[in-house]
Amino acid sequence: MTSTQHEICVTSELANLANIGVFVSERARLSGMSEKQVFQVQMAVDEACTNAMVHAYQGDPEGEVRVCCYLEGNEFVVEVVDQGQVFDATAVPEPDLGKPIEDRDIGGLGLFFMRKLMDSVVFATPSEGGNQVIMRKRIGGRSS
Amino acid sequence: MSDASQEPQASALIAPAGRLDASAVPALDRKLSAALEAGFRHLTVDLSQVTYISSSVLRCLLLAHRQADQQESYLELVQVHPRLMDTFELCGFDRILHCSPPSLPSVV
Repeated sequence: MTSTQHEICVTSELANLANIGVFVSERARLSGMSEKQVFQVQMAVDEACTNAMVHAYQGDPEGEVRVCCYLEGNEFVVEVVDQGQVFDATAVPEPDLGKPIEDRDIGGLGLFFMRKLMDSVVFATPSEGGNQVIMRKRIGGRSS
Repeated sequence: MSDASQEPQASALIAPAGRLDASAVPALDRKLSAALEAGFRHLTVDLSQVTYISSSVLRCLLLAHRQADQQESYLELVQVHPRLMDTFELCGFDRILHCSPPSLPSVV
């Protein structure tokens, strides 16, 4: 069963990341998540929105980023949608965290955090274009 | 007798505050780069007032750490909140970035 959806829609300025963080944290907290889980959800959403602003819109602050939260059963679900250039997350290699610092490629950390902090992360390309990221986290589930 | 005011300062302190997401990177990068280019040998980043760090900021700190290593300077992070430490541990940065008390820093 899906709950009422709550949504925030902002322009693709990095300055709006803070507003999104406040919105998502409030929704996650109201869902009954622990403060640690709230922090993790906020971080995953921040990374997804940063990707939309930096990669999909390539820094253009006039784009639109929509974040929608709802409950589905015992899961807190967040959708991040943009209308920017299609971003192929599967083409981004995971960072090799075992490499020495001098050899380490520093890209891919945002996607790494999204996958680590959420129970499920799905990337989609809506028919109308842009990108959609659907992230799920079980309330009261793992928080590490 | 040496004049202490003429000696280069050995250490510097940077103390960002609040939420450090991607929008905070340019300012933090400028401060870190300025301190390293000024030749400070010991650069301390006090995170006691920081509530959040995104991957963009971690990249910025990692690059500063690399630059510090290359010029034989020392970059350390102090007063890291446990929740931020969780983030560092998750990506292994806790094994890379140093954490120790600052030594007589001066504000950049």
